[in-house]
Order: sequence, then structure tokens, then C-alpha cells
Amino acid sequence: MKHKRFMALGLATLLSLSVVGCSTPNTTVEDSGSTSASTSGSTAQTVSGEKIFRYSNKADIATIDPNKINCVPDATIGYHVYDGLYRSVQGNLQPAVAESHTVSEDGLVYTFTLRQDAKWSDGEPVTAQDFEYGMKRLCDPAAACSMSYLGVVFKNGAAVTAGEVPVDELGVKAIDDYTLEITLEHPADYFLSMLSMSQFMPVRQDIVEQFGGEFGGGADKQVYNGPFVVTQFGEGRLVMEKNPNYYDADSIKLDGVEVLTVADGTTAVSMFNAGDLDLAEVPSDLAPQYEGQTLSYYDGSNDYAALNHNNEYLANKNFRLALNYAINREEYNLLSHNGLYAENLRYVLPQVRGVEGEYGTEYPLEFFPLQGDMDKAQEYLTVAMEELGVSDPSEISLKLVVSDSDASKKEAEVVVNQWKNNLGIDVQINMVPYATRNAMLVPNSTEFDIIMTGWVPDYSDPYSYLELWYSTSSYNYLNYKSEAYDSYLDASKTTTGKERMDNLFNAEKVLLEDGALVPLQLREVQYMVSDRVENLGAYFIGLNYDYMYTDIVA
Amino acid sequence: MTKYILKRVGISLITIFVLVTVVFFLARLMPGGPFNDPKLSETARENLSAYYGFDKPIFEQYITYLKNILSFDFGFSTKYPSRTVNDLLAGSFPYSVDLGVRALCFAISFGLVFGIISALNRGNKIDLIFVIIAVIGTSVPDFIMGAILQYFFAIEWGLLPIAEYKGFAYTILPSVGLGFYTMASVSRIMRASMLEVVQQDYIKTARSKGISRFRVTWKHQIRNAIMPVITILGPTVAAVLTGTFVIESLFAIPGMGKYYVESVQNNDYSLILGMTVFYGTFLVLCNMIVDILYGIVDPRIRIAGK
Repeated sequence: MKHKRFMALGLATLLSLSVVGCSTPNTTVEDSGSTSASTSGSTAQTVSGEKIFRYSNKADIATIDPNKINCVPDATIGYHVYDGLYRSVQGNLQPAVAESHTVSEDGLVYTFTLRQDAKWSDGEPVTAQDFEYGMKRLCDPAAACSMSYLGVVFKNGAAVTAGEVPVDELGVKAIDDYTLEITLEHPADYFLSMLSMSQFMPVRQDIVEQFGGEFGGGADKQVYNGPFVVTQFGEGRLVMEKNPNYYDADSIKLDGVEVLTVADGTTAVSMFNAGDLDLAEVPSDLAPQYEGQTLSYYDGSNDYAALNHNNEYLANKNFRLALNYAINREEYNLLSHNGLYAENLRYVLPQVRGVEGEYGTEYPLEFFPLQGDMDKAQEYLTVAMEELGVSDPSEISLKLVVSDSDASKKEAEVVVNQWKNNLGIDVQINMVPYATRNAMLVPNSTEFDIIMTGWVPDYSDPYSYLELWYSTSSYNYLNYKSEAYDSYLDASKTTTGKERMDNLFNAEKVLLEDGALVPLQLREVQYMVSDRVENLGAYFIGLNYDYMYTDIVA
Repeated sequence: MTKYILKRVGISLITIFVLVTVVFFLARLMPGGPFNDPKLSETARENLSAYYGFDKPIFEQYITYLKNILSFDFGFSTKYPSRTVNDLLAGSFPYSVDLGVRALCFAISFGLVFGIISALNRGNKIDLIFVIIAVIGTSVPDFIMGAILQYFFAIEWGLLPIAEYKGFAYTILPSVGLGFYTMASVSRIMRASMLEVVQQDYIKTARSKGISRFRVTWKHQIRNAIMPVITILGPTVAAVLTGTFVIESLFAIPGMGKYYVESVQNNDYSLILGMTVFYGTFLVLCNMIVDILYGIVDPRIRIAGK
């Protein structure tokens, strides 16, 4: 009899548990008003009077602390909730908090005059001191911002970040509430375009001190001065609302934005089809199915096979050129990505900014032939083998490292096969986890001979790609050492305009003539946008989607 | 009884301590560090290490870590630099628990009923149907089950929402997808156990006493047959309640599941440890409750424990 009671008790506990569990956690979107979804997922969201733009990311937004933002999806949020000195709209600079600026003769000192009607979301004015504090915090070793290397553009930036000189000696100074003076380490034409990046946004010292390490870790743990404010930032969802305090609020059409985390790409596409999302990226395996319905943009990723020049064979320039000419980039793109990416026949992304317009238009270059050149490859190989004292190409054995994702694996297999078939050399593929591969990307690594990797630019300028391979750069995992290359980059730091761009172009040519690495592809993202969305931009540097001036019609 | 419970608690605490120690050092042994974004400069990496205290000798870090977790402070995540591990867990655990409890309710109620019906109809067509369901359930992995459910019920027929988690209709597909395996195993175990119990002497005694067939089944057979099901409930509850990577990712549910995978991929030391300690404690706790429940339900176990 006693047992019966215990059993009943147990069952009751189980039942009560299930009742408690039946109240869904607070996931309603009250904050954004009437976007409450209908329970039947197949009908479109009704937006009664409110214009809400909905899209998704694969991962949660990591932080909205502007100084600590370090990936594109987060920077996209930063772009829409903060307002810097200038704003890059599709690559064109617009004045933002700065009304105007002057540059000194030597191109080193920038003096910005700030508008006086810019306000934070708590009503405080946006001052030059906020910019000074934000930029100093970016470089402050104690704040440990992962993108602090961007601050090397400021005078003493590198030294401050390394803790060698005090933060106060950074070349950023508020002259008065609305005048900011920035001194650079060397003239840099791209400096203004950097000012649109989240890392250079104004930051309120009092708010940072109030929240300490948790600053920017929640919607209410930060204040905003951009076109939108964050009203909800938590598990799987970031909600923004239009900022009524924004000085240009009249131009902002959206009432709000909802950014969901949808890890599964196929789910995101299904949600888009059902009207639950206004924008979805199409995974490459689904792309053929949606051909003709998608738009695409370059996301700036420039993928290449990096060669370790410390290797005895790869130290030979002719051998490196043989590797480059032996790649049929058209076939590579078809086999590894269904032809969805663009083949890269040079090094720098042609879409970055040149002197006046696009770099690729001003400095066209097709250095390596689209389908490779097997005759040239053989010629270079023959010369290289003589120089290296090798009689049979199969004696040359190299280790190629690649991260263990399906896409990377395919890329590596295609490249290795082309080398084996076209040159007869022996290349072994070594798959490692992504984090392990990244840890190998340091100068003088002995872990790889060839490594599949790439670079995403931080600002729209060829220098963002080229600075990696300066002989003493801490990113130079190629171990590339070229006096000519270094001197062109040095010259670019003391020149401006066309002269500077010429130097950069020459540096790019030197890099390619040396066959320093094997350029492969420029990534394109396929995405779909709902018809009701107007004026949405996609851009390749620093952010992916620009919905600041987006409108929702219908 | 008190002594029995105290002993279980003591063993559980030691288990958790060992777990913390092993995971702490194992995480540090993984190749690469937490700051391996190729964009980071050498200086930025050093500054970050100092910020998180990873530059100190490993033993000192270990002692600090032990001290901190005594006050339930798991530190800041390295992937989510502005958020503490506690904050991340507090935000995602409710979703996982909610989903898990629904999945369990589904799994246990349907599993038991299916198992019982199956056993009572042993050998005929009804039994066969339930056995087939159970075999499918135990052999089809949850990512396929979830995808199939999502495809038919949400995408093709439009009966239920595709993803997200904001109302009862949204919870049905993920709960069924997550609970299907457990439902199938409960049903199989229950069936087997029912068939075993029916041959016991006390069932024969009960029958010969002239008790009705229904009462024999309900009061004697089912009650005794349910013991093995309780055995698997401990680990199952812990596993189901603390999130599932696949189902959460498929249905865009912001639960804990993704942190297991993400933290290891990113070498996010604080989050790896936080997750392990949390999951480990939860598992140990569930097992402890099951142990204690045994003691209550079956006095023989209690006596043996003394």
C-alpha cells in the first residue's frame, strides 16, 4: 500500500513538471509590436501598420560593444545602431556625426567638426570626447579589443596597443565638445573609409564604467546614437527599433528590424518561402534550385592556397609559378562550387576602391589565365627542377593543410588533383579542425607547406590585402620576403592619390610575378529578398546588408 | 535513509570535482587557443590572454577557477566577449528545459502506452505495428526525423510553423522530433519488461486469487514492469533537458545545444567548462534522484546501500 502512494507521488511530480514546462519561455515579440506570428507557419507575417524587416544569421550576435565587434554580422548591427564620423553607404562616404573635416598639408592631421544635434538614445549629446574615448579604448591593452590592430593607423597606435606607451599618447584628441583632432602614423587615403567601421564609433565612458565587462552584452547595457536602437538582444534574437532621437530620423522608413539566429541554411530558405523572413542566403547546394531568383554580392573573401616560402621547393620562384599556371581556375570553380564563385586571376579584390572608382576598373589585370597554361607550367617546372636538382617531379612531396569542412575539403581535392595531373608532383592533404588551421597561420610555421586560407578586407583599399605580406608583418605566414614589394608598400605610405595607388598596383604585380601564393576564388553570396522590401543594399566590406534606408511596401 | 542519501550526495560531489579537473586540463590540451581568428594581431592575442587571465601559469589558473566556481562564477565567454557564461546559460537553459520537458512528456506517455498495448497484444497485428514504430524510432537519428517532420508538416502541408519557438504550435514538431527516440526506447523496454513480469509467480498468484484481468495488469504487471523504464530516465532526462544541437539548429530554437559544439570549435575555455560543469552536475543530480527513487520504490536497494 505504501508503495502505491509513492508511485502516485512520483506521477504527480512528473505531471506538475509537465504543466510548468508548458508555458513557453518569454519569446513573444511584444517589443516590436504587432509582429506576433500566426500559428500557421505557411501564411505570411501580417505587419499591421508597422514596417519590420526580418532576416537571419547563422550564429548569434556575439556582442554589440562597438570596440569588440569582430565579425561581419555583428558589424552590420553596429552599422545600424551607431553613427560614426562618416558613414560608408555602398562604398560612398557620407558625413555622419562629422559635418566636415580638414587635412593638414602632410596628410597626417585630420580635424573634424562635429554636428551639434547628434544625441544618444538616453538624450545626452554625442561629443568629441565620446569619439576620443572610443578610439582610445580600441587601442587600450587593458580593454583587450580583438580588432585593436586597426588602431595602428593612429599615431602611436601600435605602441599603445602593445602597452609600450600610455593610452593618453594616442593621436586622438578632443579639442572641444565638437572638434576632434586625429593624428595618423603615416598618410593613409583609406583612413576616412575606416571611420565607418564599428570599431571607430563613439563610446560613452560612463556607460562602460557602469557595466564593466558586460558592457554591450544586452540591449539595456549600452546606449545608441544610430538610426536604430537595440531593444532586445538575447538568445537567438536581436530586435531593433527606429531611433526617434536620430537627427536624420525622417529618412528612416523602417519601424524596426528583427535579426533571428537560424543555424540551418535550409531552414532559413524554407522560412523565407513561407514569408517568415524577408531575406535569406541560399546555401550553395540549394543554389541550382533557385537559379534566376537569387541576387548575389561579393563578400570580400579572397581565397588562395598560401605557400610556405621556407619550404625548400616552395622557396623556388619558378616552382611557385609552375603551381600557379598549372591551375585551371575555371574547372576548379565548377568542380568545387558549381561555378558560383568568381575565379580570381589576380590578388586584390577588383571591387575595392581605387583612386576615384573601382580599383579593378582603374587597374585591370588578368595575371593568370582563366584555364591555366599547361605549357608555361611545364616550362617553369623544368627550370625549377634543374635549379633544385630534382630529376623526377614525383620526388617533390608537399603537405597541404585544409580545415575539415566539406567545402574546404572539396577545394583542396580539386587543387591537389590538378597539380598531380598537370605537374606530376606529390601533394598530401592534411585535414585539421578550423581552429587548428587558424593557429598555424603565423610566420615561420613548420606545420604546413601549403595551406588553404583567405582574407576578408577591413576597409575598401588594396592595402587591406597587400599589407599582409610586408616582410616583417606579423601576418606574413607565407614568409614572403621581397625588397621590391616592401619598397612599393613603403612608398604607398608617403604618397597619396594616383601615385599611391600606382605603388600599390606595382606591389600587387610583384607579388604575382613572384607567384607568392596561388589565388583561387572570390566568394559570392547568393541571397533572396522579398518583393515587399525596397532599397536594400549588400556590400562586401565590413558589413553584409545595409537596410538603413530600406522600406517595406505592399 | 538519511545515511543512504548523504552517501549519494558525497559521491556526486566527488564526481563533479573530478569532472571539473579533467575537463579543465583537457580543454587546455586542445590544439590552438581561444583567440585563433587569423585577423587578430600578435599584440591583440597577448592582450586578450592577459584580459582573461590565460597568461598566468596553468596551475594558478586552475586554483582561481576552482575558487570562482565555488561562487558559481564561470567567467566571461571568449566568443561572446560581453557576456558571462552564467548569462548565456540563464538565457538558453529555459528553452532547452521547455523543449525537453515537452519531448519527455510525449516520449514517456506514448512510449508507455505503446509498450503496454504492444505487450498485451503480443504476436498479433497491433503488436507488429507498434514494434515497427519502435524500430523506426530507435534507428532513425533525430536530425532525419526532425527534417522529415519539418518537411511534411510545415513545408509541404503547412500545418505547423517551420521554425522559431514562440507559442504552442511552434513546439510540437521539435518536441516530437526530439522525443521520438526516447519514446521508441521506452516502448521497447516497457514491452519487454511487461512480457517478463507476466511470467512471474506473483502474477499467477494474483490471477488464482480471482482478481480481474484488468486489475492484475494495472496493479501488478505494469507497476512492476515500470522499474527498468525508471532506470533509463535519469540519463535521458539530463540529456534531453540540456539541449540538443541538431533539433535546435533545425528549428531555430535558442537553446543550449549549440554551445556544446560552438564552445569546442572555438576553444572557448570558459564556455566549455561552464557547459561541462553544468551538464555534468545536472546528470549527476538526475542519477542521484533516480538512485534515491529506487531506494524509495524498492526497499531491497535501500537496505543493500546501508
